[in-house]
Parts: sequence; structure tokens; C-alpha cells
Amino acid sequence: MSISVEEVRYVARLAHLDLSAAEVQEFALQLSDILQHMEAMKDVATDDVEPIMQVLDPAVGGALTTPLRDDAVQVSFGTRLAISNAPDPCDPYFRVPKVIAER
Amino acid sequence: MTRGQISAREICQATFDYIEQTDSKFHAFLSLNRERAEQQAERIDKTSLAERPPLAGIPVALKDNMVLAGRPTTCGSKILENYVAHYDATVTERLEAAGALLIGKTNLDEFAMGSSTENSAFFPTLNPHDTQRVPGGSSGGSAVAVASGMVVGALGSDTGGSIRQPAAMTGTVGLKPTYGRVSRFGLVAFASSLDQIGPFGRSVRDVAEILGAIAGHDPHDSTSAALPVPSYTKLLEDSVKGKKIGVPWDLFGEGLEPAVKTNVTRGIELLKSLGCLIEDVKLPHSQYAIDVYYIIAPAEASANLARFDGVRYGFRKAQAASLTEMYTQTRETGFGPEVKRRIMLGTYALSSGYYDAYYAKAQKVRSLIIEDFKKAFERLDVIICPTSPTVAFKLGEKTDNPLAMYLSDVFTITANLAGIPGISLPCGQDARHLPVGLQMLAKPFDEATLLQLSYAFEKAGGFHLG
Repeated sequence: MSISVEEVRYVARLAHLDLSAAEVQEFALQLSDILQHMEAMKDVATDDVEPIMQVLDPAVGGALTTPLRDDAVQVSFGTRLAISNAPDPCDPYFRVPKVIAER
Repeated sequence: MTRGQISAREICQATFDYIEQTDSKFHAFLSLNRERAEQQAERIDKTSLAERPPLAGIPVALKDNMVLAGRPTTCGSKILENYVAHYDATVTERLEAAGALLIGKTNLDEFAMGSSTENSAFFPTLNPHDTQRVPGGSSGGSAVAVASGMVVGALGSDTGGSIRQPAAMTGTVGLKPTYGRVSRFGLVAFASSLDQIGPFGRSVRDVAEILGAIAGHDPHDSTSAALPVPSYTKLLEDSVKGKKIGVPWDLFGEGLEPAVKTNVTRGIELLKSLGCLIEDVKLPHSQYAIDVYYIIAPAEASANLARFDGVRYGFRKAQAASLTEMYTQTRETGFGPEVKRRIMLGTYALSSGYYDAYYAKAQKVRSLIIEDFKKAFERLDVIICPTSPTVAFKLGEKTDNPLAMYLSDVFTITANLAGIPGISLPCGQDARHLPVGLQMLAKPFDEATLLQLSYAFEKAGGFHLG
């Protein structure tokens, strides 16, 4: 299994990565190498096997349900703290480049 | 401490003095946490001797992917270089409640992706046994902080061996608990079905003590198990006579360094001499573990790392003309090569047309790997194998070949895929005096048996075999 330069560009677009031309070339080779190694896995018979949905069997203590907390008001970050790590805060918002004009 | 012969304040001062002298050689720390550690020491010194909690005054380091309020959490990445957390991870709260001094944050492979700590965006950490060599990874900083004596214990995170492999390469004890044993609230997520926090120490007792402090259910982490936590330190001295140990000899093959094989075999002999019963065990699907892991872990990582987009926190590449351009340029500049490689691999495996061939297939083979362990543990107490196929390798030796780096995780990743606990113990050294690690795996939530056998192994001189 090998992955082409075009496929690398396509996947980079899905992953929101603006890869350089050199990176595209390098990843095409490296990812092909890695995918080649994974070919062996395809020989395992799995027609009757269920994919895992959760790591541990609830019988041994794995959490099965999603527990819900009581629907009661709790203390949380205020907006000031919540935006304090933002690269471009505009109290009380996160500011981003203009989106309306896109396309 | 418990006799009142030394104060927490003195321990704290001595720790920071020693780090100042020592860390310029090894580069284990990314940031120190002096003010908060001193405040904690003061609090401890005010308590009466009888009231002191189990880790009173004990210096502990944290891998820099766990948050501490008011302190930076970089994950070893440029994208989080200026991030300051506003809350405490559950493990840090619990360590402080147990009396520990949280000394500082340690270096790691960027977002815990790597096996050598060379993928840190800031600097590599060096192995105290030979500074030309890596300390393993991704929790290399925590391993070295403990191995060099700068702290007594440390926390790491283990997604595919990131606690156990650096423990092996630095001659320390490193434990990956069962999936769900320790809360991950406040741990920056890498692969959510695999990540687990665990302790490093220089002795089994230290590791047992730290595990006891951090384990248990946490309402903030719905994957944490609502099971009682045994008193690990009290169970340490229980007899190991008659314990059944399985050894997957089939896996002791290609790529395993002879010295590692020799020492681990001697370690198994030592346990036999203590009355343990040794038998062969087959884990037929373990040979596919690397492939399964390097689909599932990057797939989960590609989703978890989607949040780093330059909007809410972290680095942003300015001057982008559009929102999409801002996202793609921020991520391109902020992430290092290994992180990008894994995001690409994961996105590919999840993309339409390849999902069934890779991700869905891997989830099925993962079921078979889990089944192998379930069957084995119907008759066995633990399984023993090497932690790493090699001793610590040289800096730069594997950086150009990602696949070779991935293959160094061959013995550790099955425990993450199966969710079971694993521990790495020092097991002598090779001819160049580089540490070898022996790994024990147990059934889910049976850390007590792992620690008992480890303690017996340590007491019988197993750490200094060879």
C-alpha cells in the first residue's frame, strides 16, 4: 500500500495542515512505509469479530454508562478567565479573521 | 519526615538546590514550581507528626501534559508555549492532599508522541546513564528527574509505553495502571481509549505509595472506575509463592537485544527461585499490536488535536487572510513533524474510503488482542516480557526513521490496547552499564499483584541482576 503525493495533499486539507512541498514529499514516503507494515493486519480473519466499543468489560469494572451529574448550578470559569489564553481576545469574545466574505 | 528530624521546608530547599546543580546536565525540567511547593512545605510543617499524610514533604515532578492552576502546560509543543492553566488536574490535587511537594513540570515528546523525548519542541532530555543516549519517552523528563535523584517520584502518562519504556531505559520503576484506575481530568488528551497516568519511583514501595494517592473514581472523568482502591503498600509483603507467571517466549525473537533477553530470562529464573510457577503463554494476536496501535492512536489523536486551532488558546499565526488560512497556518507552524505525521496518519485512517480497511479493521483486531489476554489471565497471575527490545539508543539514531521508532514500542503497546496494568522494573544492566527493563502485566485492576511480585523481585536483588 502506498500513498501518493495527491492523497497526502488531500488528507492535509482534511486535517487543516498547510504542509510545505518538502513535507508532502516526505510524508508520502514515510506514510507509505508505515502503511506497508500494516498490510499484515489485513490477513487476520475478523468476519465474526465485533469491533471494540469500550476498553474494559463492565464485568471487571469498566465504566459502561455515561453518568450524569445533578442538574445544579456550579461554579465555573468566568468569561475573563475563559478568554485569558486566547491569542486575540475581544472581551467577552474570541476574535477570528472575517468569515462572511469567504468562498 | 515522619519523625520530625527534617522539615518539609528543608527538603524543598535541598530539592531546588540539587536541581539547579544537576538539571543543566540532563534537561529533565521544562518549568519549576517553587512558590507553590514552598507554600505546600509550610503547610506540611505546621501539621503534627501524627497527622502527616503518606507523601508528606516528598518531592514529586509532573509530566508537562498535566495542568496546575496558574502554571504553564506546554505538552512540549510550541502551540502551547504560552498557555497557562486555570485549574488543577485531579492527580495534582490528590498528590498535594497526600502531602507531596509538586516541584516542577518535566519534558516530553510533543503531545506525548514519541519514544525518546527528542520530539520535544524545546530540547531533548539526556539519559543520566550515558548523556549521548536518549532516556526513552515520551515521559523521558519524569524518568530522568527520578533516575538522577532530583525528585523522589514523578507522574508520567502512558499511551503506548510512555511510562514503562523510559523507566526501563533509565533504571527506574514505572507503572501504567489499568485504564480507568486513575482520573485523567487535567491530562491533555492524546488517545483517549489508551491514555493513562501513572507513577515513577526508584523503589516499588514509592510507586505503590504514589499510586495509592492518585487512584480512584473521579466525578470529573467518566472513564474512571468506581471501584475501591486497595491499600497497595500494606499488600506489598504478601507471599508470592505459587503465583503463576506466563512468559510469551514466542515474542522473544527478532529485534530483541541479546543482553535484554539474558537479563529478563535471569529475572524470570529469580522469580522461579522464589516459588513462582513459570509457564509458556501464547498471545497470537500480539504480532499485530504495532499496526493496530499506529492506526487507533493517531486516529484518536487527530480528533483530539483538532481543538488546537489558534482561536481559544495557544499560538496563532497572525496575518492570515481568512479563517481557514488562519487554522491551517497556525497548525502547520505550531505542531512539530511527529505530531503532523500522526495527525496525517490518523486522518487518513479515518477518511472515507479507508475507514473500513484501517480503523474498523484495527478495532476488530484489538478485540482479538484483548481476548488473548482474557484467556491467558484465566490461569495466570501475571505475564512477563521485556519492557523494550533494546537498551537506551543514541540521540538521533532513530529520528529519521519513524517506523523504526514505532517498532521500539512492540512490548508495551498491548497493555494499552487491552487496558491492563503493566510495570517496568530495573533488571540489571548490559555490558555498557545501560539499564535493562523487565515488564510484568496483570489482569484489569490487579495492580496489587503486580506490586507484590515487583516488591519480591526487588527484595531478592532483581534490580541488580547480571
